[in-house]
Amino acid sequence: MSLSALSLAAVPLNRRRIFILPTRHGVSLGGLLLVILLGAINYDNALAYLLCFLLGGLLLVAMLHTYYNLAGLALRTIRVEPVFAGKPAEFAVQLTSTPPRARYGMTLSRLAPSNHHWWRRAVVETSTTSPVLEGDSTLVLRVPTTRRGPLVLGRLRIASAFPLGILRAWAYFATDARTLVYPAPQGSLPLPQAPLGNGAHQQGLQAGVEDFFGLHPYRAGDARRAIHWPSLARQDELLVKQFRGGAEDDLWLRWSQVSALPDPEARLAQLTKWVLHAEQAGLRYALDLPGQQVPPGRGAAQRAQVLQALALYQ
Amino acid sequence: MRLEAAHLWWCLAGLGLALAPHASRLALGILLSAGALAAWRMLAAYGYLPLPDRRHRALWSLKQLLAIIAFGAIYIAYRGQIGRDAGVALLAALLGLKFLEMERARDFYVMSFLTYFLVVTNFFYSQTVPTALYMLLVVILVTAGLIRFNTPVQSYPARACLSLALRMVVQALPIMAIAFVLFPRLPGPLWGLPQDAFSAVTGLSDSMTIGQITSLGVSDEIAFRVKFDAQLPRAAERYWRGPVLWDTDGRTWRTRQVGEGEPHAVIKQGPVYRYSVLLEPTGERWLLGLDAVTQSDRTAVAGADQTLYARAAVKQRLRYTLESATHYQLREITTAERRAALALPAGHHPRAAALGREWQAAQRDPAARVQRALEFFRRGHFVYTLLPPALPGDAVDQFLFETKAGFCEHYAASFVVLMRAAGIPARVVTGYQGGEFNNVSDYLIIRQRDAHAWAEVFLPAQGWVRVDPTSVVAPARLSLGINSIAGERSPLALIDRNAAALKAFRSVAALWEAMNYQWSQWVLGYSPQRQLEFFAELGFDDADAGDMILLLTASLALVMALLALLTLRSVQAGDPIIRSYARFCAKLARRGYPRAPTEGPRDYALRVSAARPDLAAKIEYITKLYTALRYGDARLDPALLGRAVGRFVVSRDR
Repeated sequence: MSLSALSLAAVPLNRRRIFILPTRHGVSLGGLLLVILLGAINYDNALAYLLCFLLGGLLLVAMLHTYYNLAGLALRTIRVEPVFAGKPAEFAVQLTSTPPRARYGMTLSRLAPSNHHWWRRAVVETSTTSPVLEGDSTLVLRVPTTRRGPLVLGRLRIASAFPLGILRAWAYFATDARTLVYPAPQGSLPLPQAPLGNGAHQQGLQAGVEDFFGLHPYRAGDARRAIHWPSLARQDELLVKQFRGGAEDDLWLRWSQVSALPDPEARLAQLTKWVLHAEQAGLRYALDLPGQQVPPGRGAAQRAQVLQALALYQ
Repeated sequence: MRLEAAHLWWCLAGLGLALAPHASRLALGILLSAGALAAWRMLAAYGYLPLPDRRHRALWSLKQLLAIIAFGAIYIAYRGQIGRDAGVALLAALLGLKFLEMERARDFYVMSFLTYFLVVTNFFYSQTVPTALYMLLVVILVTAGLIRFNTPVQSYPARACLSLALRMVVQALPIMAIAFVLFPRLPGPLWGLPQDAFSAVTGLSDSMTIGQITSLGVSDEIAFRVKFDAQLPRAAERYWRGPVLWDTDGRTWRTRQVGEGEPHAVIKQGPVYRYSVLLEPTGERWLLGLDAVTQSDRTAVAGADQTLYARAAVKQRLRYTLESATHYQLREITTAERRAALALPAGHHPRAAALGREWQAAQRDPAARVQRALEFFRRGHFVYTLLPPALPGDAVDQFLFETKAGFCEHYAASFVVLMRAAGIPARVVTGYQGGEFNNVSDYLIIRQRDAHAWAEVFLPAQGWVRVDPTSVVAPARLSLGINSIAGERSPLALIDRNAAALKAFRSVAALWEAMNYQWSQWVLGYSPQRQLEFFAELGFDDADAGDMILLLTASLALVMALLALLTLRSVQAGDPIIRSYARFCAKLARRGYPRAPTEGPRDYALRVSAARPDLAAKIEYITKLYTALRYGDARLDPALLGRAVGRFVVSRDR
C-alpha cells in the first residue's frame, strides 16, 4: 500500500461543479434593496428605482465575477507524511490556474467526513485561507488527528467571496489522498532488555559486539553508520556492512510485554514509544503482535514498517 | 478578514461623499458630532485613542451620552415629527455612532450598505442629472471599498479596486436600464407620506390673493414643457389654462367646486393642435392645457369650467397628451354658473361697483360694456409693474382709482369686478402665458415667471370670451414674455447687452435644457401610465404585471448571457495555442483521422502524413509551429498558428 497516494482532482472547475449563493451580507443587501424598492414605489422616486436596479444589477454582475474567480481552477494533493495521532496531518494541496491568473480570497476546507446532505450545512473541520493565489500555489491543509489508522483526506471545498463579499462561490473536490496516523507515542514502561543482558547493548552504539557478516549494496533505510566508507573509495557502489546478529541480539517488542496495560490502545501507544526509543538508540528491533510479526531490522524502513503495523493493528 | 485602518478610510470616504449634499440641510450640531465620532474612530485605528468598549467604562458612557444628546437634539429640532428631514438627520447621527463602533467584518458590510441607503435619501431632495452622476460616483466608491475589503492590499492596489468597481457598475448599467423600463410600476403611495415629502413644490395655487404672483414673476423654475406634434400656436395665443377662480371675498379669489361634472362642449373654430405636456410636480390636482382643450388622454379629466384635473395630486412629473383649439366657442352656462359669475361680495369696492352699474345703464350691448372697460384701462394711465404699491384698503377700488399700478392679477381681478357690476357674468382664469422655444429638441418651456391671470366674460352672442386686460396696458407682456417688463431684475438682463455672449449663452442653455427635458421625459416622468404606453409601442396592448415580469426576466437572461460571454470568454476558451491546435485536430478528425487520446503531436503528424502524403508539408509546419509555441520559443506569435490552421484545408480522400 502506498502511504502517500497522489490523488487527482485535476480537472479544472467549470460551471457544472461551481455553486453560488449569497453570503449573510448578501442577504442583508437583498433586504436593503427591498426597502429601497418599497421606498421608490411609495415616493414614486425615479432615482430610487434606478439605484435599486443598479445595485440589483451589481449583485447579478458580482455573480459572474465570483464565478470567474473560481472557474478553471484545478487541484491536486501531493506529498503527505504519516503523523502520530494528536499531531495534524499536513496535506499539501496544489492549486493550478488555467489560464494562469490571480485568484483572490480562496478558502480551502476539509469537510467533516459524514453527513453530506444538501439540506444540512457542511461542517468545516479545518480550513486554510490564501489572500491571493498566483499561477501554481500550494496550500497546506492541517488536518487534526485523534485516532491511529488510515486517514483519508476525503471531500474538500474551495470557496471564495471575491470581489464584493456578498456572494460565495464554492466547489467540492473528492480526493483519495490518504495517509497513515501512527499511534501517539505514550506510556511509562521501560524499554525491555535485549536477551544478552549486556548494558552496552542498550546503549547499542558499538557495532563491534556483533559479528561482521559481509557487505551488501546500500538500500534505502540502511543506517548511515553501517556504510562501509573504505569500499566507496575503491568502487562506485555504496556498500553497507552487514552484521550477523544472533536472534538473541535482537530487541523484540512484544504484545505480551505490555499486557499489564488494560487498554489495547495504551499498549499500542507504549509499543510505539519503545519503537522510537529503539530507533533513536540505533538498536535492531522487531515487533511481535498477535497474528503479526515484523522481522528484526533497523533504520527508517524498519521504523516505517513497524509503525505501520502498529497503526493498522486490528 | 480583519478590519484595518485602510478599510475605515474607504468607508469614511463613501460616507462623507454621500452625506455631503445633506450638509446644508443638517443642523450644525449633528454634522459636528458625526465628524467628531468619525475622528475618534480614525484616531483609535492608529492607536491614539481607545475605543469605547466595555473595558473603558467612562468612554462607553460618553458614547451613550453622545447618542442620547444627538437623538434628543433631533427630536427637539424636528418637534418629534419623523419626516424626510428628521429621517436624514437621524440616519446621519446613527451612521456616526455606528462608524465609531466598527470593529468586525460585519460592521464594514453594514456601513457600506447604509452608505448605499444614504445615497437614496439624497434623491428625495434632488433628482437632477448632476445629482444622479454624483451619486453614481459614490456607488462606485462604496463598491470599490467592498472590493478593497475582499482583496489583499499588497497584491491588489487601490487603483485595481476602483477599476474593477467601475467595470462592475458599467456592466450593471444595462441591467439597471432594463429593470427600470420593464419592472412593473405600481401607482401611488403604499403608505402615508410624511408631511414634508414634497415641500419644495411651488407654482400656481387654487386661490389668488392680490400680490401673490409677484414672487413667481421672476422665478426661472420650469412649470412644464410642451412638445407639439406639428406647428405651434402664435405667441399671443399661448394661454395655458389652469384653475378658474369664481368666488371672491373682496381680496382673495377662489375656485369653486362646480367641478368635475361634465365639461361644456368646446366648439372648434380653427386649427387643432396636438401636443404632450410634461408637468413638473405641483402638489395639486389641476393640470394645464392650451386654451381650450378639446380632447385629452386618460390622465386628464376636464371639469365643467374647462379646468383639467389629474386623477390624483401631481407629486411626480406627469406627462399627458392633449388636443386644443385656440379659436373656439364655449356657449353653455348653467343657472348656477351664471349666478356665481355675477356674485360680488356685499359692501366691498363701492366705487368699482358704481362704475360698472353706470356702464350697464349707458350701454345695452354687453360687448360694448366690455369695450368700455378696456377703454377705461387703456386711457386711465395704468402702469404694468411687478412691484405694485401696497393696497391696504379696499384692494380693487384702491388699484382702479388711486395707485393704477399692478400686474396681471390686479388687472384680471378688478376687470372681473367691473364686469360683474356691469351685469356681465365674468370669472378669473389663472395659468401661464407664453413660453420659450427650445431649438435643440423642439419644445416649449413654460417657466413659473410666465404665470398669468386673465378674465373670461360671458356674452350672449359668443359664449365665454377671453379678455386679457393686461394686454391692453402692456402689450409686450404677451408678445415678448415677462422678461421684457421685468427688466433689470432678470438674471438674463446683464447678458442682454452683449448680443454674441447672449447667443452663446442661449445655445448652451438650450442644449442643457434639452438634455434635462429628455431626462424628465424618460427617467423622472416614467410613470405606470408611461410604462403602459411604452409597452403599447412595443406591441403589448394592455400589458399586465405578469407580461412585464416575463419580458423583464427574458431580457435580463439575455443581458446576463451577453455579459457572461464577455466576462467569461477566457474561462471557456483557455489557451489560444491549444485552441488552435484543437481546431487543427478537429479538421483532420472530420476526414477520418482522429487523434488518439494518448497520441503525441509528433506521432499523430507522422501517422496522418503517412496516410495523406498530399498534406504532409502543411501538417509538419503546423505541428512544428505548435510544439515550438507550446514548449519552446516564447517570442513566436501565437497568431501565426491560428492563421496557419485557418488556411489548412483537408480535401476528401480520393
